[in-house]
Amino acid sequence: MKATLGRIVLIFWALSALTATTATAAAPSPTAVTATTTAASDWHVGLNLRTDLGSHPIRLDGGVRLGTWDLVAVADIMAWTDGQMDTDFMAFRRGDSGWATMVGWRWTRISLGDSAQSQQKLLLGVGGDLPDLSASIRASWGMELAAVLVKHGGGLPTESLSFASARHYIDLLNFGMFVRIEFWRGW
Amino acid sequence: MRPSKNSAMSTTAERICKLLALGMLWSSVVMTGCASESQPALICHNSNCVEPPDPHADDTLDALTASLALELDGRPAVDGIETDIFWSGESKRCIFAHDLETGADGPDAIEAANTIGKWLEGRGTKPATRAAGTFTVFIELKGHVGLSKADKHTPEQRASHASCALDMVARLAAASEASGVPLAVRFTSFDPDLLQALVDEPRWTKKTAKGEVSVALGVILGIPPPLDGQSKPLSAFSADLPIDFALCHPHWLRDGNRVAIRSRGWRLAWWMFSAVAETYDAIDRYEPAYVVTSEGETLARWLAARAQ
Repeated sequence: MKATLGRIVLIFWALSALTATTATAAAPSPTAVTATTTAASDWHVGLNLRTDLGSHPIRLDGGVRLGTWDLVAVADIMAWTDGQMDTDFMAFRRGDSGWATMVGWRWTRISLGDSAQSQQKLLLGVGGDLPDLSASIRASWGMELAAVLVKHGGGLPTESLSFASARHYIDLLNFGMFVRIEFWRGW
Repeated sequence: MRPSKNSAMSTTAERICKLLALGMLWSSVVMTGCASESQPALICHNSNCVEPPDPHADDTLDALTASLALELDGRPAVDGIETDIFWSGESKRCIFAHDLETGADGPDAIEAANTIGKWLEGRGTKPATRAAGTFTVFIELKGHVGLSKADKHTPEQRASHASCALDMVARLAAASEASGVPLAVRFTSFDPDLLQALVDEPRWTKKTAKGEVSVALGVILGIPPPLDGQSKPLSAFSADLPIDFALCHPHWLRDGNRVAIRSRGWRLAWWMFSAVAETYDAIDRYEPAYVVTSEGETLARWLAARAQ
């Protein structure tokens, strides 16, 4: 089933890339593409991708851009593969240059068989626009610090982030990088 | 009309961007198929895997006793125990402790072996491990003899430290024989000279040749320099040493080191205190031989769920 999912995503990407190539060739100038990216408000849906171990490599990403704010929710479409589910809520504050700062929350749910442990993480990060893939598909890059503030549930004792010694927090602070590729429409 | 230089550069940048994005997507797709169901041996980190993790209690006899008593579904929660031992340059004692700042007055290292030995001898018909057939004791030989990590052993101190570790093995081997529980001992250290001192100890050969217990060496890799100075380059460890595995922190192991470890024929093992998403994914992706954790029950339950 994992292989099937991979093929579906790959086909999605291949179609997107083909569309992007056509659209880029037809675009009258780079300026026109940039202009669509900076529309004041829009909705968007796409993929949140990463190669590090912070969450599943492919998740579904959607939200709204309201002026300088981009509000994003990320749903874990691969949770069924191993019982781990990462759900993100992020707010990006975008600057004129295409760079953005980000604050967010990640709820990680780890299956322990008959129950699950939750890990609540504060996300802090930066992001930046990548060149548009087409008139309606854009991409961005981001880097995050994920701090596990509390682990709870699953019938296990609750653990909170502590800075009493390096041994207390070494596992609980982690960096990650991601790429978002999304279809968008302005309003 | 000829395209402008800026336009050409922009097109090139877009192509590069697309290639990078495609590469990342491809990597993501490939990784979706990497999970496996291998079962590592679960080892109690610093003799202290009662939850929530409390590093202040690491390598204490109370925590060791409580950790050995951890059970899940009528079996021990772990497959083995890690103990840390120091040679104190000041007191000339072999100490069971995690560090000399708080543990300089700690019990003699043999007390940890006695506690584990008595537990093994008291098992009777009850299982001694979570899933493995062999109970494994990790003995980490700490690489400094004073408060500073720069206080390194003299040759005499190294020999005494190694002798102390093999005294522990003798006690554990006696318990294994009395209880009928198969035993494996894994000596680990950041310091290649300490591993060499173990092999140079006359009793090392005797232990392996007689097959009383399975003994082997493990290299520890921690937080890399300059954040922490204990980890040594892999090249510092002689190819002549019978090294079986490298015990690494999964969040800090670089890919280059991971490949080099495999190239040397060593197995991977993970150490951690508190498991997070990255930890679980690293177990799935790299299939370590051992997982050394401060959360005995959590990891045991996760491994059991993963195996179903």
